[in-house]
Amino acid sequence: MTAIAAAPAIIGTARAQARTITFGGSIPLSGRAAETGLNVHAGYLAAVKAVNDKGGIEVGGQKYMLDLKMFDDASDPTRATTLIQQQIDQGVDFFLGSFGSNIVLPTAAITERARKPMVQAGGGSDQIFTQGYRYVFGFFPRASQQFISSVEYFKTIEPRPRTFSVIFTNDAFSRTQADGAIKDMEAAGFQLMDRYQLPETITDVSSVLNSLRAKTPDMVICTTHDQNSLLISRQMAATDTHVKLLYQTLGPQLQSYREALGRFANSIMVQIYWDERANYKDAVFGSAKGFADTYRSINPRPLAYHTAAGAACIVVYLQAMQKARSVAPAAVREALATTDVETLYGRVKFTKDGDGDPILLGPRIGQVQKGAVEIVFPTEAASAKTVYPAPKWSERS
Amino acid sequence: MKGRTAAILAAGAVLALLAVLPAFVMPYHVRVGQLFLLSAGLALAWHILGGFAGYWSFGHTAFVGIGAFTAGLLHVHLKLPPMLGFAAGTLLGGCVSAAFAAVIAYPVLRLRGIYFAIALLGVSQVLGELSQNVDAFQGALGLNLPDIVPDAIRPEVFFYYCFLALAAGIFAFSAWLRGSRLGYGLAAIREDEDTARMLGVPTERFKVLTFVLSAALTGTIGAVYAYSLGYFTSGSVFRVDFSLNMILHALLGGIGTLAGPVIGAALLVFVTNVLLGRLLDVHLLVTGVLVVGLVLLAPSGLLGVLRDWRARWRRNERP
Repeated sequence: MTAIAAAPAIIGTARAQARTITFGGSIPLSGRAAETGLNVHAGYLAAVKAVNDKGGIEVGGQKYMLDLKMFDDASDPTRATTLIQQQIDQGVDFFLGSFGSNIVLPTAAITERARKPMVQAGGGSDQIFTQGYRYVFGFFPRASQQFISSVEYFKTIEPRPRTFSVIFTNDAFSRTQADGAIKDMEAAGFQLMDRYQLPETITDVSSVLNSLRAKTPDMVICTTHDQNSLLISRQMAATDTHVKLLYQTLGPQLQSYREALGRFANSIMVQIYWDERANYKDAVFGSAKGFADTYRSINPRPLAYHTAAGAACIVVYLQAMQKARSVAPAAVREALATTDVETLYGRVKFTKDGDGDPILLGPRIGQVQKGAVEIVFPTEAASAKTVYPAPKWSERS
Repeated sequence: MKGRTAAILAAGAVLALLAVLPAFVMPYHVRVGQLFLLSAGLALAWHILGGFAGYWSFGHTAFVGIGAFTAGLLHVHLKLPPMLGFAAGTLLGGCVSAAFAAVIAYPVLRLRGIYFAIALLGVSQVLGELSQNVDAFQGALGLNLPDIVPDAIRPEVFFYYCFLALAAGIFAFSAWLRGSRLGYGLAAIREDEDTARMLGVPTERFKVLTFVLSAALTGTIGAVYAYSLGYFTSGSVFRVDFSLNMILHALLGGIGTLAGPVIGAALLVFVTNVLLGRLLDVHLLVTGVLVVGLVLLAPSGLLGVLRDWRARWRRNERP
């Protein structure tokens, strides 16, 4: 059974000649990962609506409309695997990903066995890409390789920082990224002073800051999630714990983070996975900005990089189908494996293991300057120069 | 005696039906069946303590986690051949859960009612945090388990039969237990523990034994569950909803009855995964309303309602 069903019952008489391509999958719309799950889902919805509003897509001379059949996995791997199986039984051929490696991995095992492609923007743990799966593709580079572009950036700073300490929390993403950061930083000649391991959700870092004040590195790298990053920088500002460079993988890219910290957010560095000002061309939305405008016109939910990545998953699927001139899962899988296209999210290319190319899809480096995030690396995409060393907390304006 | 024979025949018929089911249904329905059998097994294991002895644990997910981590760590450290590792992990998962229950039994079983429930909830939370934050357990990064399913059989069918064997085994054990000396002792404890002790029931010994048995069975299921996922983190197995569902399934079907936990699990799995599986926005709301409604309208569970109907019908039959 194929995902391409006769259309009239689904898309009405006006589109009687078109067939339907169905994208299935699970997403956490409730439960502990719901916030990001909703962001990813909003991206999927925006892309499907945009394509259908334009009359669908042509693949191999046949017109197709898109259909999205996602269900709420409630952040529960058992529920996710059960309902993914239902979609496979119903003949869904193309899958989008959930959020969280503990859900992506068990569901990917099912789609892989059924030889149905899965393109996902919700799982970055190394475990997903070391199972030998051929049909699973991820937008993000695996966690251990997400620090490569950051190290390249640190090498360009003048005067060159020499020492660093790492703060990370005890979850798969944060830990793996911290391990990768330490390995890559030491290989580049930077000296590790300390590594601070914290629980998954932190409420107080004063003991870490005491240690940092006693033994201050040039750089503090936090491979932490948004709320944990905010707590760390708040307490650093409150206790006047100054370092020349504070780098946080997630947090400062959010407007809410910058508003909460006010002037103290200035000079903090952050990884930028996506920026709507970037000059990317896109086959569906025209550009990154075109996507942002379209999205805001149909969804009041604030735009996040996961939303853009979600939409780009569908764009990449469509381009692979057009390249393959087929909607057969195996042919689309082959086209995905050799994908090298520019999308609203950037240039998309997968490694042979299926994760995102660490250079092309790895993060850019941003810095908060005057309350906004400016890109400072790579140089060709930079919108401002790095402020280094960062002013002391009391001198920030 | 006639009723007992009918019950055995009915249970046998249901078991036979469940055993042949995978041959006739779609893989999705096999997975729903697998989820039902997992839920039923857990509810039955919980019910040995909560239903028979009246000690409601709100933290039985602790034993699911212990079983899963035992199996996972056994694989990581010993790298046994997959099937041997599965068998050893499952067995050891139950044993380690039992040993842990034996260690904490003395302090926690001195508590009763809501205090016992909260103590177990606390134990499960502590274990979840430890597994997440102590590097040796690897709960933060997650544990990978090997694919143990033979090529000739589909994974969902393999684990369906694993959970069927466990659920059927625990059901048979529960049936035996209820009619044993221990079972009568537990019923006495449930109704009035002080009076039971006064009448010579060795309440402490019975409670510890039941607690350990319940933990062992839950841990065994936890180990198999870990293998069915293939990869799990602390969050996959130390889940409050596991603990709550065990109680809810038993409550909906009928606390203190043999088949109650099985019927409750079947009902809730069907409703949440089949009826409401597609309702993205409202499935949790509808499930909540349904559960609250059932508990309000049928506080003694579905089997309790059935029993009341039968009693009323018999009264009306009398001349």
